[in-house]
Amino acid sequence: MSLPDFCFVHAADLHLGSPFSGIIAGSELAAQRLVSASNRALDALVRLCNERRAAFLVLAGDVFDSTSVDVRTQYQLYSALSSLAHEGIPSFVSWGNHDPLGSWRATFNWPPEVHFFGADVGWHEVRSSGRTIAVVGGVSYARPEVNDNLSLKFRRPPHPHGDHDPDRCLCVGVLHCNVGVVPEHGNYAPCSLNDLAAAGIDYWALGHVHRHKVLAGPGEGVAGASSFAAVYPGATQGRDITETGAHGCCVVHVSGGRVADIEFVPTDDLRWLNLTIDTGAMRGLDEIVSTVAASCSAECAQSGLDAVAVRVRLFGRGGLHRELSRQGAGQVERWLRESLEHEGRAAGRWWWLESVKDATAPDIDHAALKRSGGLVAELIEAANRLSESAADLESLVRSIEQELGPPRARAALASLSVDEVRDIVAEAETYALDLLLAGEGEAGGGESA
Amino acid sequence: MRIDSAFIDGYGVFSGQSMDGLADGGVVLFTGSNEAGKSTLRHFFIDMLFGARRRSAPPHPPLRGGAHGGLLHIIMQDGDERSVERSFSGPGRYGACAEVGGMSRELYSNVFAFGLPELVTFEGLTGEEAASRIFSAGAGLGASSYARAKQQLGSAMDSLGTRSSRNRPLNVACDRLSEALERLERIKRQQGRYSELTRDIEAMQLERDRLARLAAQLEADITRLGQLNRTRELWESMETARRELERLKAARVPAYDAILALASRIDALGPALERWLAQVHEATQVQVRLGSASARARDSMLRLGPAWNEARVEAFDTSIEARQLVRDYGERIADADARLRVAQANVEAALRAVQECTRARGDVVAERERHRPESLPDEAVARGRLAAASAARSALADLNAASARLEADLGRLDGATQAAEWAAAARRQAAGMGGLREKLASAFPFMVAVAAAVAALAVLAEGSSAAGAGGATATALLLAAVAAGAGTVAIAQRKTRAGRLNAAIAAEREAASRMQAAAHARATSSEAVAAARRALDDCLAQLAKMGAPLPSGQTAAADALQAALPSALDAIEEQAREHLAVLREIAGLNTRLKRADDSLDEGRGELERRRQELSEAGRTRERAARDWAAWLSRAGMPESTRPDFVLDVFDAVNAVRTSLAEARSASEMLARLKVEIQGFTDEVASVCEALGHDAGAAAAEAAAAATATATTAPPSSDTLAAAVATATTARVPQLVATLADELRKARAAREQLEKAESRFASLSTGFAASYPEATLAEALASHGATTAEQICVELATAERELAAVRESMERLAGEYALLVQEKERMEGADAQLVAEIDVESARQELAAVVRNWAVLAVARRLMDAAVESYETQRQPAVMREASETLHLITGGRWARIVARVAELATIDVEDARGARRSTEELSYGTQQQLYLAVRCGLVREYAKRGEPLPVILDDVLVNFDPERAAATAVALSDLSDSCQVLVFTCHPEMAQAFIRAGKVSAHFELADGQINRL
Repeated sequence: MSLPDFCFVHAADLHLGSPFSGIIAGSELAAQRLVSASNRALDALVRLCNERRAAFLVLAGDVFDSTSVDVRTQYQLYSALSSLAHEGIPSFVSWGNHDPLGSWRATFNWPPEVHFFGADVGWHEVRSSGRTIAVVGGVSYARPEVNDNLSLKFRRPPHPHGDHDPDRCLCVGVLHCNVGVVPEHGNYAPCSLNDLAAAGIDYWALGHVHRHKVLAGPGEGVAGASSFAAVYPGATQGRDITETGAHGCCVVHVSGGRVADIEFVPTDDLRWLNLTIDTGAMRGLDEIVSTVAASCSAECAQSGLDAVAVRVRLFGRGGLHRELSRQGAGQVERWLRESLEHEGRAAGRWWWLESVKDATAPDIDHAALKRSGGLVAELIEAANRLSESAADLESLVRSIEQELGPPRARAALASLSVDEVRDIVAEAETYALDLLLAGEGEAGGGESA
Repeated sequence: MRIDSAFIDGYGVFSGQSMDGLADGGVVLFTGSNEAGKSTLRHFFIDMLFGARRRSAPPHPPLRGGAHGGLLHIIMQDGDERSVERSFSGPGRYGACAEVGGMSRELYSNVFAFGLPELVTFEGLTGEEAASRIFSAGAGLGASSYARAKQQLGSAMDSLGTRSSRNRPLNVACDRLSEALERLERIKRQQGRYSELTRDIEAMQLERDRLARLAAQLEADITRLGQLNRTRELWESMETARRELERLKAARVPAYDAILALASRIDALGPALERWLAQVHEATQVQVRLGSASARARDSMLRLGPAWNEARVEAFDTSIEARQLVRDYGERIADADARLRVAQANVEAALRAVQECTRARGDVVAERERHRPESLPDEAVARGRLAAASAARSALADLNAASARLEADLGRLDGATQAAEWAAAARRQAAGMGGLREKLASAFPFMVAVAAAVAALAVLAEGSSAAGAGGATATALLLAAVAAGAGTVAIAQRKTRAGRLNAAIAAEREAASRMQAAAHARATSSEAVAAARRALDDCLAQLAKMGAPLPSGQTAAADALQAALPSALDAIEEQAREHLAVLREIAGLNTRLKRADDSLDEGRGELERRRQELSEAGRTRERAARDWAAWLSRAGMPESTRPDFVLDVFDAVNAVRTSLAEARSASEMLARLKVEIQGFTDEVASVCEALGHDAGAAAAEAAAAATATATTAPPSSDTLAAAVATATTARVPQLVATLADELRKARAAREQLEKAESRFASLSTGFAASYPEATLAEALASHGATTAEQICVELATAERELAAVRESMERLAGEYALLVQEKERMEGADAQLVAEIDVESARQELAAVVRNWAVLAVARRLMDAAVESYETQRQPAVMREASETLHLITGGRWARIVARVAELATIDVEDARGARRSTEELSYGTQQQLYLAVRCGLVREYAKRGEPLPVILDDVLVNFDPERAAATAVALSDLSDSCQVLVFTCHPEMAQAFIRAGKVSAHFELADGQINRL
């Protein structure tokens, strides 16, 4: 008699307890809302398991955001997995680079249905109606930085446990790793797709990459004799402005002991949105608000969620540049954040401005200024020369760093990336031009009339 | 900008002085001896342009009168003319005028308007404003200020953070981040406490469980001992009751059992004895009633007669229904007799009424026969004649009226015909001009007019040839007037005749119209007369048809008939009315006859009905008699018996029956009493036998004897008394009393035993209720094994131990609760998360501030770099201009000035061969020439970028040798091409040098407070 069809849920990178980056001072309430988004994603994960009657749940690393998350956050995981255990749904958890084994853990009476993987690959059976329907193996990081290829430790168990036929039950490998050594991700437990194929695992439940990605779909694996699947489910909730779009987990449908289908299900409670707005043709600041609000509304309608955190980059010559420059970055950000929150409340939603970057420029003809041969031309030339050389930019940072007194401020300055410094140079150029080209009667920077 | 003219109202030594023609180009030269007022005049120009210095005394107060101030007339570069008026004693004494374009007083005083003291000090040019201002002017910044930009930049950076200030955003953000990190670290260190809490809580849970078990054991012991203590007294009472019960059981009497077994029967003997004695007495009385009733029955039977016996009496129906039936028969017979008599009287009365009606009808018939004439038309004919006569009368009247209208119409026709003829004659007269007289009358005015006209012409003809022309003319005019008047009359007459003819024609037409109308009316009246006549003929024909007597003539056309017709119609109507009156009287008699016939028929009917009633009453009487006879037959009584007698028989039968019933009742009661009396004696005998009492048997026999006596003895008073005495004196009552006494004793003994049993059972139950069933035996055993004192001691000991355990538990629970609370707080606390958020928030805040600061710092670097590049790669025009000027002044000795404009303090000079010297290495005069050259360069460059300002030089060439002074005068004169140059000097040779340069446009001499143009 063939094994029954079933499904299980694969999630990773929950990053519970993450304080979220990009939160500025005075936005503690927003921070709480963002933090609660991760918790709600966990709730959604539990709901999904119950609704789909999942055979088990796999969490592939970075469940917690740090090695020392507080008790409350750990208790939330305990509560969630305990509730699943109460429903008869076992959980298999591996720890990743954010929450390695050495992390501080509060003591809880974990139900026997909750399994944590150790530093060595461990295997567990999943039984249903007296039969083993799956074996789940996984490994946790012993320390934050693991540069070994942990996939090599996986080998499908030939006869895992006694009387069942190992070839007919699903074999799942849980691994937090960087497949293909993708440079934009931390290079932890690097491995290749061939390494995964060699292990004889039916389904690789991967973690670490925050965007959902199917490396190998059902039947697409590169293993010679048998196919396999390897999937990054992505984070359950986008963590910052770099993680836009839907985030969630995978429901893996198994038929006849083989992966039949992989279904991505969003679990996020909040979407990040990156907006670039041309203010060149705008006549009033209200147009910025209405444009951002319209984008947020569209995002909500598309995602079905009520919460959007948005980063806005304003660009364009002339237009509102003078007004924005006069108000200053802080004032513009406060004003736009409050306006957007107001618009969100009016729409019955929660819209939060993560940040706004004013990249608008005065309505000046750079080419003409450069041709004039005056000081302004020299300034433009100097900015251009500076931006073209990463070394000069780094040198610039080191140079101005000396002027900063507080060490923390110097550290903050030193932590800027080259691209960020380049942006600063551009802004500085605009600022200096505003000052130099402004009429004497004007108090601050602004474009020439 | 050039100063074209100036007026000094009051300033220093100058009062009411004016100058004009200053802006004609070239150099304006002011010469004068020392203290002539050159510097005062220079200051006047500066103060007028830039205002008085603040926080200083008013400049050069007027020494020779006049208001402190003056007026400048200025011509701008674009030709615009302006006036600058300033009073140094008024509110407008401060502030530069707008025409200087934002130039500061200090810069102007150093670069544009200076004397020797300013020239020899180079610091004026190295000031930030001076340098950057000049630099800006040469850097394509238009009206903006490089210095202002740098100042704003510096201010912005300072507002973000300085090394010294702690409350700037940069420092605040750093401090906040430090504090947030420290707080987070503190919280993280506390997280280890969670594991300790978990272990402590587990240990406390074990200790708590142990103490709970110990407390439970002690509570059980206390409960057990407390229960023993509480039930001790009960247990002791129970033991006492148990012993008393055992004693009573041991003293029990066996004979009491037999008595108690018959207790109910013995109890019943007492009341039965009372009933027995009463029954014996009652039996004797019943015997007496039985004898009396039997005697009355026999007597009544004899009164009914020999045919009656007891059986017939019992069978005879004397019920209420039977009695009522007999009474009904009597009433029916009496009622039938009365009805019969009434019916007979009614018949007789009806017969008399019929006879009366017959007589009245005969009277009416006789009277009607008397009133009826021989030939009388019926009513319809009479009414027809009356109506026809009335119609004929109406038709006759219509005929007469129509004839009268016809006559009148004929008259009007004749009149109209005559009027028409008259109108025709008048019209003909008007048309035919009448007779000769009228024609002459009409022609006369015309002729007069012609004659007057001819005469007037003649007079005119005569007058024209004669001397009295004036009189002839007047006469002619008079005649002409007469002619005109006559003509006018003639025309009026002609108009009158035409009017008359028109009127006659109109009258003729109207007469003809009236004649036609009269003819039409006559025709209409003729038709009406004919119609009326036909109507009258119809009426007469109808009357004739109805046999009315009419006069001779058959139609109304006959005048004779019309004349006789009214009287005939009157006769016809009168006859018809008489006939109708007779007919009405006959109709009344017919009505009365009809009523008489109806009364007769009614009386006959009534008579018939009464006769039928009489017959019915007779039949009813017969039926009642027949029914009564049948009843008597059934009752076995003679037919002649009347119902009243039968009712008396009923009473007699009932009396017999009552006596017989009383006798039977007494007999039955006596039998019943006998049975009951026998029953009592039997019960007494039975009880005595059961108890083995010998005396009982004798008493029973006595009772039986008394019973027999009472029920069988003859009903005399003596025997009755004897029977009663026997019964009451017998030994039966004593026996019954004895039995009752023995029973009371037995019951008392049993009750005592039962009370003891009940008490013991109650105590046992109460004790058992104090313990569960399982522990009852143990409790009993414990009570039996211990004393009350031992129980009290053990209980007190257990309670003390329990209190100690509970105290420990409470203390432990408090500590446990605190630990659990702390643990739960840590599980639900978001302090670490809040701290992490705070750290992140502070980090972002710091990053934002640092970034903002970095933008400013980079901006400053960019500006510095731009300046550096500009200075090193593109020598400012100001230096080129200065170099040329120096080259000119020094006669080519020094060819080039090498300077960094932003740092003017490091100016060097190079000769034609490139040999460079620093400023300090130059001679004093050459230094001044260098400085003057630089200022000239600045002025020239400034003039290229902005509004050129006047250059005012106050004896700056005194340290120059004549050669270089002349060259300088040439250079400054050349400068006047770019801007206005005002030169003040007290040295004639200097003045000559400028004059020789050839560009002096105006020369003023200052002396004794006067400004005179030379």
